[in-house]
Amino acid sequence: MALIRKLLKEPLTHFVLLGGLLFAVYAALNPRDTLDASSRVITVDREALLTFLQYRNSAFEPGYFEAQYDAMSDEQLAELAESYVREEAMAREARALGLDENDYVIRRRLVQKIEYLVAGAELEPEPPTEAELRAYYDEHRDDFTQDAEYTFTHVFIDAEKDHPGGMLAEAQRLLAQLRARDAGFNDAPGYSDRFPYQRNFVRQYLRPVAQVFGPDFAAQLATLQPSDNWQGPLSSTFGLHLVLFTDRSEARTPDFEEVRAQVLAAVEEDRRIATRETLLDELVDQYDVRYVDVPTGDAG
Amino acid sequence: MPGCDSILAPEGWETGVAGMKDSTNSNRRFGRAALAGCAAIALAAIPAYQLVAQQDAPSATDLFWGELHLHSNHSLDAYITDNTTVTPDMAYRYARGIPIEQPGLDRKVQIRRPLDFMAVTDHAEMMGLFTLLNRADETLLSTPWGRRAMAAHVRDPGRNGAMSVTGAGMSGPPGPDEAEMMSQIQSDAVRSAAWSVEIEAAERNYVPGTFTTLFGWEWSSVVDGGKNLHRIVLANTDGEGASGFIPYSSQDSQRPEDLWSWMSATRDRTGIDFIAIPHNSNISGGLMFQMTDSDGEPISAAYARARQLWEPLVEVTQAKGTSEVHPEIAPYDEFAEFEIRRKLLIGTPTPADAGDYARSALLRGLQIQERTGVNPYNFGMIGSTDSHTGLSSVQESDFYGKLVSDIPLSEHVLGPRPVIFPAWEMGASGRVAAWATENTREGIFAALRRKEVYATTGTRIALRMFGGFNFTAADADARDIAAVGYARGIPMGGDLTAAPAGRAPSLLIHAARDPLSGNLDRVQVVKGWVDEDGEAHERIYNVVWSDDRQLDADGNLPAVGNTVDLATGLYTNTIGAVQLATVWQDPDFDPDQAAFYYVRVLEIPTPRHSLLDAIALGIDVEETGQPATIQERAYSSPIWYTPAR
Repeated sequence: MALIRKLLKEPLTHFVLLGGLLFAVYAALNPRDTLDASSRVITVDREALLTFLQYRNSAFEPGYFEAQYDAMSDEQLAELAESYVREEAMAREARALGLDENDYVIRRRLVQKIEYLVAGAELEPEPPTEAELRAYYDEHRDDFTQDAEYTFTHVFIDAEKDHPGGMLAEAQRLLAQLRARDAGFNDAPGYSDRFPYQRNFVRQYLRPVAQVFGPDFAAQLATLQPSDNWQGPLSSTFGLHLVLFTDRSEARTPDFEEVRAQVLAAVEEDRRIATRETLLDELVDQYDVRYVDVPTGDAG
Repeated sequence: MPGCDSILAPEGWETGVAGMKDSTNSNRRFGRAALAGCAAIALAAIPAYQLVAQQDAPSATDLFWGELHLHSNHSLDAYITDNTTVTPDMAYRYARGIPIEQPGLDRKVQIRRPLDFMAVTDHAEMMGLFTLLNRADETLLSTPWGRRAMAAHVRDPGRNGAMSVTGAGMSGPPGPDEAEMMSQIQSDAVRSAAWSVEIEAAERNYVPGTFTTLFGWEWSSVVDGGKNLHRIVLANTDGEGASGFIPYSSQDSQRPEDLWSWMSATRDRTGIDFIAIPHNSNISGGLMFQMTDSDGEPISAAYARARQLWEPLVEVTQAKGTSEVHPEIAPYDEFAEFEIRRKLLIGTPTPADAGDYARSALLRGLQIQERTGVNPYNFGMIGSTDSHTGLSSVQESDFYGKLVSDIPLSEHVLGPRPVIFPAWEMGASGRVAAWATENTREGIFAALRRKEVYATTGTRIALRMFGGFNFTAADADARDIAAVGYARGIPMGGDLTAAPAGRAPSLLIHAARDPLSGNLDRVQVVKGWVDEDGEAHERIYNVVWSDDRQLDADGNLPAVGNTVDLATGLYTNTIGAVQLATVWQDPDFDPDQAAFYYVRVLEIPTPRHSLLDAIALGIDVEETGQPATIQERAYSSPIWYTPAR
């Protein structure tokens, strides 16, 4: 609970929460069903009324309200005291009657206060050390693996167009032509039907290729070997493709230095989430939780 | 390297006509005091490198996809509707494809297709207030009102805490009673502290060539009891430049004219160019595109010139509906009933008003041009989400809603809670597509400035549109449409004039479906013009379509059909076309009449998120109160024709 404790050390927080803590102490010391004689005492003094004033105004500035208080006429002070006494009596009576129990609004309100305290607390996780970064990299090497990169161009035979003898025949004819003329990477546009997306793919991962051509095309491409010869046809959602597939880099895991920034971002993201989870876990850990005929989350 | 959905464009072609309007009136003084600050908008004052955007128009562009309207937990309304966790930095990381935790559901989510560019655009009003409180920001706590807000925040860290001290905080300039409070919790120092977080996030996530971050915010003017005049403001600068100003807010002024004056003055002081992009004109109660200025005076040439300079774009589609056209304004338009929102921000009904919709505004622009010589409404069109979840979400199959508290099925997952914008009523929309020379701040901003951008409802339809007098029918068959388009015409967003005798302008159009979405149904050209009596007219032409359908005598086309299985939510691309291209020549052209042309591309019907939710819940889609299917679409920025003097 270090972070919550740190928050509680803030003087302002302390001041605001003090009232709540006093109530808690009060409640613990007093049986709920009957109020003993001393609990029936409502002391109205300057301090009590100053606190009351500030809560009422949703503003916490002792100096300002002291001045206000001191400027009040006796009549105004009496009126203020009466309001305070009435509110205090009603609040004590409500608690004595147990009206704060089984009230889901009050319960959710309390939970929400903790949630927001936690949300605010997560903003500054501890910065990781160099060693922690390297440890994270070693443990999560797979996360930083770079997929194979593909470089290819293609000649498109459009399924929406009529080709004499059919699409496949047209593809065979063009393939023979491309090979016979030893057509290069930049000659493809001269042979192709109009492809609505990119023609050249240079050092691209397979996933965006699949997003354009469909997964079948990507799977076929992955089985080919890079070559200086035209290959195909491969089929896609749009028609057939002859490809000049010139290069594929193997998937690789970059050195730590190369991905340092990504490692840092990943660690920080993890810590932001972990901070919050840890806070809530620590909170739960303060309780002796007994499961009766109910499976527990961490049975392992 | 451009995104993989980019269309490869040719190189080495000359481009067409310059598009910026003449500047003969540029030295005219503004008559009224309210506009005095706008005097500086005279075109002569614009740095040359910005003025020549059109003359330097590129001859080769790639297609980049973006989001220019997104809120993080720095927006007051986002924070109090349960987005306490997604920072501007996380919002950028999500858009880049990095998984982040979804607020409310506490699960990791990853965007299906990363974006190429984005601006996190938090409300300028009380920007970052809650995050400043959470980290006990010293600037804020050094003031009495800041300490009061902090005390209330600690007592109640939700919406009833700090805001009980500061007020709603997004409702315009403070009254005399609030002036002291505002001078403290919205002091320049506090606003700078919040803004610096946005700057840092944009700087950290800028990867030139791969992911561009732009500096922006939302100026959230609401007038007359809930009428929306909101604008996104974008700055063409880097992190250092952005730290040289503080986002102008509606607490500074609710009047658009004052916003433009600030943009003008700030540009003169810093050399930074700005643009403002109105959105949700559909819920502006008729105020967004009036025939008058904010004081009810007829729009003057000076106003028109200021507006066309500072507001070159309009966001026409987003979560809270489309603003292209309303079915009651254009009853003949069979596709006008589409994602229409009929309620103001505060929930009261709003009738159809010509001042609310882009198409009628484009027409009004021509009419005002007839009278004053300047068109205030010659804007291009974009889409964005306006998501307040920090997640730029446009997928029908995975839509995260507008607010965290409104996430789809929130009642089923999170229990009863107040829902402000029910997710089923929201559109899983939209996107801005930019034809830019490179994916950098300079490249993207230049495309926005020259309006070579277009809107989609979330789908990634690739759309080229060029206008000119030198296209032939065979150009539609060109293997490289862009090469022909740039060589013999001008791209979308530009201007034509001086029609050669006896010739009508043609549009060279090429649309390709989103590879991950439905086929294309049809391409339409929407033309608007003003006749010699000053009357506005509009007409829709079906210009190219799929499946060998025949036009009837009135030019109408039979519906494309619908393959969506209402039981499974699946559809097939057995109808529609992958790509559609044509050269369309205006058959009703009059060289003496001002006109605009824009293109609307429709997909075949696909399942709307309301249907997919209904299937998941095992309820009838009618219970959602929303359509089962949707025809996603793209709207090009227009090309204008202005008669030669």
